[in-house]
Amino acid sequence: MKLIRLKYTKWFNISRDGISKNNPILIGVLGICSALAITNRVDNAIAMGIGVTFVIIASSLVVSLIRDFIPSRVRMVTYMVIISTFVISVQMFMEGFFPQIAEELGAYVGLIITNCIVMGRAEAFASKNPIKYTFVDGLANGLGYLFVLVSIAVVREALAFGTILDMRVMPNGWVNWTVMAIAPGGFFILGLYIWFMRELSKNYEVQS
Amino acid sequence: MHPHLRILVFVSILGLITSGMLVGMDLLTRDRIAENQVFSLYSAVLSSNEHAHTTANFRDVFEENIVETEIEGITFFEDINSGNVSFIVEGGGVWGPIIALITLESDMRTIVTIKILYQEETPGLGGVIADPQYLEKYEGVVLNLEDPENGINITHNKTGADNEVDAITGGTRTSNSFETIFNSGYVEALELWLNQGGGN
Repeated sequence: MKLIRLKYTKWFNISRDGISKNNPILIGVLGICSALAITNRVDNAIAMGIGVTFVIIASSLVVSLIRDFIPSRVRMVTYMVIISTFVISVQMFMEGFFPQIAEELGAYVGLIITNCIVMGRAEAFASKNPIKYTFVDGLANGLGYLFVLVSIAVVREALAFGTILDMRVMPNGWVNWTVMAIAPGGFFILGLYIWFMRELSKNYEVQS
Repeated sequence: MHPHLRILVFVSILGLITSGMLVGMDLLTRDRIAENQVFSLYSAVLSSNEHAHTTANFRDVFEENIVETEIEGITFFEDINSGNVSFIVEGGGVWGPIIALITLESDMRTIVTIKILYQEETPGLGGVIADPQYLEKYEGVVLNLEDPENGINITHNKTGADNEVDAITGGTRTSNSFETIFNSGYVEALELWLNQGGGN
């Protein structure tokens, strides 16, 4: 009984929207730049996913908190400033405490600023909704992004290096597919996922 | 309140708060970031000379075994026991800078080891340059001391000379860039080191 009721709560709907139904990468096709660039290794994908999830939650919360005070003419600038503050903080934190991962992610941590998902959630959801729902929405979208990143990275790392999280998964005679390590490999896998996801969810773009 | 004034006040407050946050974050992490950078350099020098070390004791190990001298902007790291000399070379690769730490024996012509400190080459192709297995090929290579501008020769067609190393398959442009970076850095370092009577 409880499970059935759960399906109709706002919490459930928001979470489902972010993680599957309106997944930012597979359905919204947002945040593609980083999704292609850092998914050739699973550990990078996890670090990037966590970083983006944190930035989405933190910036959406702040936007939601001050949504009544933001003058509408400068709202985009405001989002940008808030997002950059959190991104730079994440970057400093990584360089300070996880130098190895920061080095591998390189410029892409800084480029979270330009990740359309963060800006998109601030404008589409956080600026109109109370804090508690904004938190769920940010978490759901971040997890949706993390989930897609990791599933791309698992395939790419296995094919490109024969490993997953540096553990050998391919047989010894495996010849590494170099194409999977560079951006085109990311496009192939992402394209296949988008195709599957849209086929599964019957999300066709019909011309009207 | 007048709408324009309201925007001004809002933006100023926002600016103040966010700058405050960034300054705070900087204070929290600045020392650690500086320490990490020192560690990555010292650690590269120490492992090039095969001195075991950890994040806790690397400064002590470094001070016991390595003498750091700066000659006209180039820093040389000399191992007290073996006389090995390490120095940094850098220059442009295919996509971004390549920074490498070269360690030579005291004769300034036999390569002990090479470590790549920074590179942005294509993963799987030029990026192989940072692969320890590839860099092993450089160990023991004898550089051309008479003609240091061609000190090393990274090539696909080896003829059997002492200063030749296999180029990266599928990374020819990276190999060529690295050859240029290596040789120009080597010329500069060799001249400074010999003129200053280094190695004493």
